[in-house]
Amino acid sequence: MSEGNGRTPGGRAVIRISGLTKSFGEQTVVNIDELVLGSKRVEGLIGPNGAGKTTLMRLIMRSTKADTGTVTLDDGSTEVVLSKLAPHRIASLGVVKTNQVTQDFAGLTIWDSLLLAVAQRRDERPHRIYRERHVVETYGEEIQGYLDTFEFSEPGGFAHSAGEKKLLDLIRCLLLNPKILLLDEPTAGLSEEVTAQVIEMLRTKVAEGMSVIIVEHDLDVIWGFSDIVHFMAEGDVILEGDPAYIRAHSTVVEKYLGSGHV
Amino acid sequence: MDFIAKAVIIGLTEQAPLVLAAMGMALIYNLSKVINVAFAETITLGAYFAQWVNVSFGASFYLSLAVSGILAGVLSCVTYLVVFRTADRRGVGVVEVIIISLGLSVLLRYSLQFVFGTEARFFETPPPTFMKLFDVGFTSFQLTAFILVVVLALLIYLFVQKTVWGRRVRALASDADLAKVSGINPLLTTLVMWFIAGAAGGLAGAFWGVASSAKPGLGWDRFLLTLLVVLVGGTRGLRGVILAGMGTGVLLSALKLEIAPLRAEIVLLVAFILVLKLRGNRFRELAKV
Amino acid sequence: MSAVWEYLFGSPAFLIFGTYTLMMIVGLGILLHLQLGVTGIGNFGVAGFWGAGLYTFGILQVHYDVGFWLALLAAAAAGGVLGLITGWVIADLDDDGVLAATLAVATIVFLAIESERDITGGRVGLGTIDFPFDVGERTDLAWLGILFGVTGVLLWYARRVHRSPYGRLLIATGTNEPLARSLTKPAKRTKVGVMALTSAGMGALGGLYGPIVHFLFPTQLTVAITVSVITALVLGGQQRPLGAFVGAVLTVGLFDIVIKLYVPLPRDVLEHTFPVTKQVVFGALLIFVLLFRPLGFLGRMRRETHVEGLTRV
Repeated sequence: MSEGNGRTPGGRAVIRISGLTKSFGEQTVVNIDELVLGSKRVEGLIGPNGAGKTTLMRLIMRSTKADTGTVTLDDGSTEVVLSKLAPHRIASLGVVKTNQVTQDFAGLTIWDSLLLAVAQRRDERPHRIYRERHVVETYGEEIQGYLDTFEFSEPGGFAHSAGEKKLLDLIRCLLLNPKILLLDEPTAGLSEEVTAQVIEMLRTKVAEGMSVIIVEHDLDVIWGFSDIVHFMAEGDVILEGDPAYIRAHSTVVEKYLGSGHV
Repeated sequence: MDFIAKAVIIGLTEQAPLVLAAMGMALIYNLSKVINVAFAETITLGAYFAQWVNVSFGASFYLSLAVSGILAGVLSCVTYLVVFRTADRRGVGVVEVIIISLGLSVLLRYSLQFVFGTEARFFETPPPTFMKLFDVGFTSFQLTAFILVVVLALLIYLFVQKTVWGRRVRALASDADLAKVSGINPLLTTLVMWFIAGAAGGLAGAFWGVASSAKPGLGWDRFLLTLLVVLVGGTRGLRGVILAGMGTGVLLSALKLEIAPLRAEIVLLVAFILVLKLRGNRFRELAKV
Repeated sequence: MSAVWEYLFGSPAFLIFGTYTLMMIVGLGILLHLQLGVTGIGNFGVAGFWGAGLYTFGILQVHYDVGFWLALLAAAAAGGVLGLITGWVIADLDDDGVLAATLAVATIVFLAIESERDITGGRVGLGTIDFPFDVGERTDLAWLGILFGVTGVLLWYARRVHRSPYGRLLIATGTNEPLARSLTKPAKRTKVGVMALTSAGMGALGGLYGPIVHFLFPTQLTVAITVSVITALVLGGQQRPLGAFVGAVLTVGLFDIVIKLYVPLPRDVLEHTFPVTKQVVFGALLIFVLLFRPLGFLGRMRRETHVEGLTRV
């Protein structure tokens, strides 16, 4: 919704990663030479625990700082170096991420939380103390649409369960109308029914032009939803291909699928 | 050279208790993750206890020092048990715990005035002899205090770094649940640390007190500087606290040699604020968004 | 009738002074509510921001004959600039760092006033400062009316903030800063902004206090002011705009008005035991309230009803 969110008609925005490394102490968690994310509509990111999937996403969002390397957003006409921007600027440019670990605002109700997501910088000035009506009138319907799709036990109150908070996290991100949405295990802890609803919602958004990069342990979601799958191990993407190719690849089977993971 | 020597000697002798106080506060901060504003009153009480034992019982300064350290340590444990442990068990937030400790500080500072009054209380010690080094004058008392502080600081440092208690404390500080599983008694370990911290604060207060007098604002007036030393030096462990404490003393005395004392304090505080600002982001990596 | 009047308002000057103090604490408390209760910034240097305004006002009036309105504006600006700098310093510090930095700022203000005697008068004091108007005998009552008005405006603003997108931004920043940032919210700028704005308010309140005391001393800016404000806010309810008011009535109102005026205490007790007891009670209140009723008398911030109202807009 914020500045710079209009999609350029010329092609999809992609994230270019180059020479990106991150270590915690002795352990190298991410070490990627070259990687382009977002050139297909839906890209899956899989790999064993500790492969660096979540860290890679956090590095893109700059919620953790890289040791070396650059991350660039290229929307076909302009290139912006994300790895020099503050996290809120990255989100403003249309690169947004949902959270693996449930995140919520303790003091805000469901409606509050969603109105926060849609409110623009100009709505949030200290002197705009009568701006609420405008925000509700402008975005209320869009929010209500999401609340009609997904069931919350008490939409006027606070999110109660972890599942509700997870959904809220996703809806907040969708309300930002991202160009590229990074999803870190979006369906973990959700029922099968809600998972299906979430995927359905995401498909609609993708059809409207949003790109999705998804980390997910529920591999049925990955195989069914992704156009291309990146397989990560030991901090690097070692294989890329369509779901059928990755699914059948001996390395993946050996390192990941065969190990009884999932 | 002369200037540096002067700054170092004055800084180390006058501000030696700061090192001790900061070590005490840092022990609590590292273990319980609590900034305890009421630590200021542990310092004040240390001065009062020592003065009381010294004057009322005619005890030597060194004996009153020992008694004062023990009493301040006990007081520290009591505040932990009554206030901070309760806060921990009730899951009170960080800012709220700071405010609680501020409340405790105010409560103790003013309650004390019912016991000790508001007048400054002086120690009865034999008149010190004056000495000179590099043209800098200081008293035998300051020298003894400095040596004692060095010894005490070293003892605390060795205790935390080298004994089994130190290992227990570090285990408890990094992962309380794991520490419990491996047979560490968390309450006992915590009490031991709060005792040592309180004793360190009390001794610092006694040294400050004997250099001037015991009075209600003694600890509070030195709280901010102690806190800044802990926050700036504490990132590098006790050694960092000792270095930051000594550095602060030397810097302050150097500034006071050049400009008016109050302005020197202002410059020092501004410097501390800038240091805090510069290393601000270091702990932010933990946020899991 | 006059006997009743005599009993209730026997010493109007004392009553008015007590009410001045009450209004100051309420005003500062409402501003601290926006910092601490809404945005989660633990400002332990309230006295410093207030004092910066008070002394700016005093210096301009006494030394430079600056008119009331300009001096008041400068007082607000002084608080605001100090808040801006403080906000910049604390924007990426954790709570312990915020405690240290805000305390340090207040201490610097205090030391600067003691040290720069040429313009502040140091411990000798700075004066005299008079009311900007004279309506005869009850000028002080008129001033009290103005203070009521100012406090009322602050309360109205705080309540509006709770119902505005700005308030939501502040709450979000205070409760989960990284998450707010990930939703395009500039958390640091928000914190700097709220500190500048509310500290300007504190500075202005300081300016308004000048004519009340006529003579300024550094001892008026001790941590006791900060403790009174925090106690009032915490007791009343830090998350509620009315919290500071309720808390101040229960603490300052009880001590500085009811007991001081209507309880016949011996002069000696009133001068020595009473102020000390007051601080002991304040300290104890802070501990007990935060341990056993952390949200104070008024309790949790009201969001639910307000949002239900919203959906009907």
